[in-house]
Amino acid sequence: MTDPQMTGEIERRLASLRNRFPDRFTEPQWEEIREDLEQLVQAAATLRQRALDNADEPDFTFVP
Amino acid sequence: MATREFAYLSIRELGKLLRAGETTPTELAEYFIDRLETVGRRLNAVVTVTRERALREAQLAEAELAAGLDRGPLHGIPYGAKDLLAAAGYPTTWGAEPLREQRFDFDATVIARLRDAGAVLVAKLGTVELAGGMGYEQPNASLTGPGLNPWNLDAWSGGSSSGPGSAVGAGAVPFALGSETWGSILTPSSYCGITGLRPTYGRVSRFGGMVLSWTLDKIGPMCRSADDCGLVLDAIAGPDPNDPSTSPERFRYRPEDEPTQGFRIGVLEESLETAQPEVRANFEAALGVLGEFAHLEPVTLPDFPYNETARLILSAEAASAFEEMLHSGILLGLTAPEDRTGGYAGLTIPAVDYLRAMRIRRQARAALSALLARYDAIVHPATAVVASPLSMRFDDYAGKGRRLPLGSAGNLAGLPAISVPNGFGERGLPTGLQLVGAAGSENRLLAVARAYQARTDWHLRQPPL
Repeated sequence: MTDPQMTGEIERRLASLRNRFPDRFTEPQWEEIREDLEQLVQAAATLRQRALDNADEPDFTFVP
Repeated sequence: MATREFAYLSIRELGKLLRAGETTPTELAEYFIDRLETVGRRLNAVVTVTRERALREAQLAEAELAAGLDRGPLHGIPYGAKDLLAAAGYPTTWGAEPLREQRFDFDATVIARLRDAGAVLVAKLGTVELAGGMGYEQPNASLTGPGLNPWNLDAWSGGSSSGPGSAVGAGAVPFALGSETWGSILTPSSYCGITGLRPTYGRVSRFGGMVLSWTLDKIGPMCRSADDCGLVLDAIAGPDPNDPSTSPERFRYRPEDEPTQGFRIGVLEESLETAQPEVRANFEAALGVLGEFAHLEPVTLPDFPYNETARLILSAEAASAFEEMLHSGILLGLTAPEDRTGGYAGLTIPAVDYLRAMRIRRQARAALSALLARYDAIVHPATAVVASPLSMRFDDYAGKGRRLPLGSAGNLAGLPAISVPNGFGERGLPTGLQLVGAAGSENRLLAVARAYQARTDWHLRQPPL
C-alpha cells in the first residue's frame, strides 16, 4: 500500500481499534488486523472509482 | 441389502425400497447413524448424531407409511444439517469451540419443514467456525477439526459446509442442508464430488440459522444428484413470516414441466487461465456434453468490481451480526488463529462505504438480470482448483484463482446456482461444473443439470473409502 491517503486511512482505523481494544491483541495480531484493514480500504477505493448518480439507490427495500 | 447399496442410493431409490417394504425408516436411520459414527467421524464431518430424535422420527414415519399416510418423497429418508441450523434440544455450535454448549429450544424453519415432509434428522454436521465469517485461511478452522475429503484423506473437504460435503460424498447421509454466503455450498460440493444447489436469495427461510450476512446468506440442499436437490428444495422452500427476506412466491419442483433439450447456455471463459489444467480440461469436456442438448455461445460478465463489492458488504454485515461477540472477546477462543482477529477490521467500515457497495450491487444485479434473461444458464468451473492439501493455506495452493468472478457476481445478485461433478483432477480429487441461472429459475437450472447427469456418470462415482 503506497498511496499515502490510503495508508493514512488504514492507520486511523487501526488506531481506533487499538483505542477500543487496548489490551486484547499481541503485536503480530495487530499486524493481521492491519492487513485486513488494507484489503477493506483498497476495496472501498476500487468502488469509489465507479461513478454513481444521485439517483442510484442502494439495493435494499425499506417497507414501513 | 449389502452395505454399499444403501450408502449411495438416491432419494427416489430409497423411497422405492421403503414403499416396497424392502427396508424401513428405522433400518435406514440406524444404518446411516452407523455410517456417521464410523466413516463420518473419520472425516470430521459430524458434530452431533441426533440418535434419539432420529429413531423417534423414523418410528413415526414407519407408522404413518404403514397406515397409508405418505408425506412424499422425503418420508422416512435420513438427512444431516449443517450445525448452524437450530434443532430443538441439541447443541448448535456454529462450528465454534466457545459455543460448544449453545442450544436452542426450537427448530430452524428448514428443519421443521423437513420434519413435516417426514424426513429423519440423523446428525448435525460440521461447519467451518461461524461459517467462515472471520476469514479463515486454512482447513483447520472448526471445533471438529479440518473437514477431510472422502476422495483423498489428505485433502480438505471445502467449506464452510464441510460436514454436509464430506458426509454426502462418503455416503454417510443421503442428503444434507448446507448454507452459502459466498461459495459455501458450491465449493464443498465441487471438492467432494456431489451436487449442491444454492437457491435464489429469499427462496428458503434462514430463520433459526446463524446469521453471517443478512443480504447474502442462503440455505440449500447438498445431494447426490440434481433430481435429489429438486426434491429437497421443494420441501424447504417458501415464504416464512419469521424471515422477512423470503419471497412470497411458492416453489414446486416440476421436472415434468421442463424441457430435456434445446437449452440456451452462455459459456463464461473469463479467468479460465487461472484454473488448474485438469479443471480446464474437464470444463471443456463438459461443454462437449452440454453441446449435445443445448446451444452454447460465449458470454462475458458485465464489468463490475464483484469481489470488492461482496467483500465490503459481507465484512460490514458480519461485523454487525457478531458485534457483541467481537466486543466480548469470546472469539479469541476460536480454533483458527486468523479467525481470532478476522472480524475486527469490519467494525471500522464507514456507512458510506457500505452504502456505495449496496448502490453498485443494485446496478450489478440489473446488468446480470438482463444478461441471464437470454440464457437458461451460464456455465463456468465451480472452482478453479481441486481441494487443497490439509497442510496448505488456501492462497498458497490456489493463488489468484481462489475466487472466480461468477461466485461473487452470483452471490451478490442472489442468483441460483448448482455445482455438478464433471471429472477428476490432481490427487484423484473431483472437479465441478457450475451452472448459474436467473433469479427464480431453479426448475430450469435443475433441468439443465439433470440433462447433463443423464449423459454422464460422474455423480454416481463412489470414493475409495
